Amino acid sequence: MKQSSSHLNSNTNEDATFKRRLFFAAVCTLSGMLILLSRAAFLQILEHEHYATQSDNNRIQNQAVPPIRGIIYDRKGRTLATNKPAFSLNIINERKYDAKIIIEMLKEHIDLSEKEIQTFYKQKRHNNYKPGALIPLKTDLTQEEISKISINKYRIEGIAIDSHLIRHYPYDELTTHVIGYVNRINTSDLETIDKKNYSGTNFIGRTGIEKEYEELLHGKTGFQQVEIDARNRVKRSLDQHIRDNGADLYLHLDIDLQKTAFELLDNYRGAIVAIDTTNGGVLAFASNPSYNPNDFVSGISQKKYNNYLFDRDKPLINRALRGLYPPASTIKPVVGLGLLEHQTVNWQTEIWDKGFFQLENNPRLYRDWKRDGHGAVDLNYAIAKSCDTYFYEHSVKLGIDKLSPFMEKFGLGKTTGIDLPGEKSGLLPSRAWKKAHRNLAWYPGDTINTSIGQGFTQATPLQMAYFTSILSNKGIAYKPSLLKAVNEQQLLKVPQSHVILTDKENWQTMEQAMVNVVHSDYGTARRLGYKHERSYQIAGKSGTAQVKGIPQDEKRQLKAYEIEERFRDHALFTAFAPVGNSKIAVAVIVENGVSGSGTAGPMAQKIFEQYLDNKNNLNPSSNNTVLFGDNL
Amino acid sequence: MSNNDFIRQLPKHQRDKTRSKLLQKTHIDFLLLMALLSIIGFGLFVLYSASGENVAIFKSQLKNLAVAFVALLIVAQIPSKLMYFLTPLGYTLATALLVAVFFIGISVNGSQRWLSLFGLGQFQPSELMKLVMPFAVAYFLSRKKGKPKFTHIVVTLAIVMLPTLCILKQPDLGTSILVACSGLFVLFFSGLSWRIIFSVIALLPAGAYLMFEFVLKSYQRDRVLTLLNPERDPLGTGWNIIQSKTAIGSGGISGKGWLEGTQSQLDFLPESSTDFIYAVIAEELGFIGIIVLFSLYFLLLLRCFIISANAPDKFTRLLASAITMTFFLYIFVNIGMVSGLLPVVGVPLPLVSYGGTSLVTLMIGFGVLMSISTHRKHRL
Repeated sequence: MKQSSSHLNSNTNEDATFKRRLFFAAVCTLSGMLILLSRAAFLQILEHEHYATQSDNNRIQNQAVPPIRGIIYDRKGRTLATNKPAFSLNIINERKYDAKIIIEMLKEHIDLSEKEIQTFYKQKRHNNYKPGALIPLKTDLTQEEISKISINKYRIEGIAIDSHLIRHYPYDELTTHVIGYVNRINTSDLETIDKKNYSGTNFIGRTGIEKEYEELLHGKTGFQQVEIDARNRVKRSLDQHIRDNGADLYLHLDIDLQKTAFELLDNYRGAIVAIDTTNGGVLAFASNPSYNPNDFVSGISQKKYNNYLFDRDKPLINRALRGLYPPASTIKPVVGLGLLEHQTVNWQTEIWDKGFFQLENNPRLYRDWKRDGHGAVDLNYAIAKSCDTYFYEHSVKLGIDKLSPFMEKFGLGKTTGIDLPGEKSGLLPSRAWKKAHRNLAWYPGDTINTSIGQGFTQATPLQMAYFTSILSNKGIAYKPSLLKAVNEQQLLKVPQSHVILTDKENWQTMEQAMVNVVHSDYGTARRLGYKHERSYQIAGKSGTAQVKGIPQDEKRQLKAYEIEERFRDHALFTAFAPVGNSKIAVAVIVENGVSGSGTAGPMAQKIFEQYLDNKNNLNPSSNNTVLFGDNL
Repeated sequence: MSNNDFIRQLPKHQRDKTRSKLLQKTHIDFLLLMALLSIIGFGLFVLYSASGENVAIFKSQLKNLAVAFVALLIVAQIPSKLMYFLTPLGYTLATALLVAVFFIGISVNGSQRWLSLFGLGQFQPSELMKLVMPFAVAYFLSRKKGKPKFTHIVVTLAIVMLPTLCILKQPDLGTSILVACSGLFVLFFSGLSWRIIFSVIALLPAGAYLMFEFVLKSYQRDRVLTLLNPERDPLGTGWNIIQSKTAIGSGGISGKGWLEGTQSQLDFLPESSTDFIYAVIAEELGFIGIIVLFSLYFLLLLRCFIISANAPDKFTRLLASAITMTFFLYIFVNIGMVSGLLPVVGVPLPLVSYGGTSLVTLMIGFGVLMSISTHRKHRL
């Protein structure tokens, strides 16, 4: 019995031990569950915000929907800047796709340069691509390349062809100095632009109209909020802001006229600016030589850029907007009006031109271009024959303090305000200017130079066309502009200012003097008058701008071809037509062209021919294009 | 009077006993069965969503469950005495198979864990070992009286370590730890002295560190490091844990709604039907869903503890309690891993994750419990 009782006891002990252990285990189980439960509570209650945001960040993606850039048209609706689809080859960012192998396989079918491959790897390393995103390998695929890739796509996994719009200028270098070009947004742009509005886009206007009206042309980026899965595939759309496509711009520019201008300038360096005198619209704006803007859009090679940069003819410079030339004799009508306004002369005032002018007690001879002088010269003759002496003598009498402010009224020395970036204001000298910039007093000799548009005086071809249009409008000055209309809305032309003359008749008489330049038998440009049968008359003024100060005596002995080309005089011609019903004003500058009436004059004439002889343009309502309703 | 009429007029406690004759005949523990069915039902509900409303997977899981229940029923019929008798054979066989894996085993993804069943598919001997281990240790220790003495402990360790090392070498760290634990639980329940237990616990940090530095392979070390800071490799090893925590946390208190979990439905959460299904529950059903899950598990475990407490002899009580604790261990490891408390190991959430092998193994274990519960000396 005892044995069994001890046996029983040990059994009971074992029982008790076991029961204790079991209880302990049960408690451990409970506490384990509580640990897990509190972990869940921690994540789901305390940290809920954080994880809810995280889960939204995973699945919600804001996709930018880039706007389509506005098209730029000329006055007749021809496309000057547009967007063309371009195709790029990409590799999909997934772990299972080995880029090295893919590139090797692609090399069998298309060319892949080392540079393209290096750029690909650089982008892959530095940019944070989500799984499923496309990493660009080669851009601007040709049709042939696209075909080759598409045929072989089934064998090469992990590639994708993507398309996007690229800016294209169908008229190549004809429009560059007007429209400019776009190119890729760079880091310094990023500091100034609204990044949000530019997300999803790569290009920004760099020069010209593209830059001036960047906001209008760009539009507004739209946003689409989509739900994506872990493979970056779009599941559904959640929300969206519709994009605003860029506005289409219609310019005053006439591409036919522009083309003609370039053909006329041919191999000469120079510029032609033509303005519509009824509203200030710029009809032609040519700077020769020019360059192809399409080269710049996707990024130009250093080599090509250097070619442009170091070209002696400097194609990158916009001569029409920023070329500074002495206006020379083309300024004489303005100076003449100044003399009349201040009553230094009247139309009857006559001098006897000996071929030179001398200041009191000064032996220095200020020579006329005609060695022996023009003889009896009144203002009309002085304009028509471009007599320098007349202007020397009377400008000295008038004085720079009255002359300079008068010339300023015609836009000299300040920008016209044309809607292009980078306009230069030229230089209109004055006593104050000389003191400030040269720390010298003003000499009468300076006035003499100024009176014939030489010396310190500088103007851009645009300014020359501008004052010519003021002359043609009898004092109404419209601000030159390129933009005619946005989308379908007509822009109102607002006259900027009026140049008021005490005697309004003088506008008429000066116009007649300019007519005599072309149509009389003594005008400097009379050859233009002979040549063509026209129903209208041209009023113009020739000019010859000195490039190098060759001493006057020496110069007489040299023939033009003996002087090195780049030291020859510039040829200038400003004109407007039709006289009596002015429509168009033109300024032609031919660098080193020597003879204003000989070289530049015929160019101006051809411009008029094209613009005016076309029936549409002679008609008073001719400024309506087919596209719009009534002009202002 | 018919039989039913006779039963009807018996006092209640006697009536209940006769009514449960059907259950007794089939050796089904009613409460355990109910607990199992509720958890399994909940699991199916969640699986449908986690699989992305994939009917094929859902049906496949039903098939798995059918097979598993059949296994449970079969095992429940076997009296514990028979199991006891078969244990040495079972252990030897399982160990032999484990050794065979080294010679003729099939490798997948760099680990050699499977044996070919010649046409019937593949089979993992380590799964068999998971079942057999508690039996083996319980067999040995139940033959000894009282608390295990030193020699007993040594032998027990030998019994446990031999297969464990085999599994470790496959390599399969996760399973080897689970197999070892299932054996060591038995040791605990048999009354291993607390002194020894505490000494071992005290040595654990040092042991863990040593293991980390010298034993663990680099990818395993990565897993531990990623656990501590998942952000160090957000697109690689950290991805699972980051997505899992996001899923759990974003569920909030009431969850995003059944079928509406964005992490799982949009494929951000990997293994959403299998190892990480807990995260789906958390995301879609919220903290409330978690509480429901835990409650169901708790009731199930409670019943298991009660069965263990009422086990008739040493062998069965050791066996039952070890099976119970092992089951709890699976739950703890899986949920701990999915919540970012433990490193990622491939342990599914018991009875809920999609997968046949795990279900069958678990149900056999519950079958054993049912057998223990229902094979009693009838008192009538």
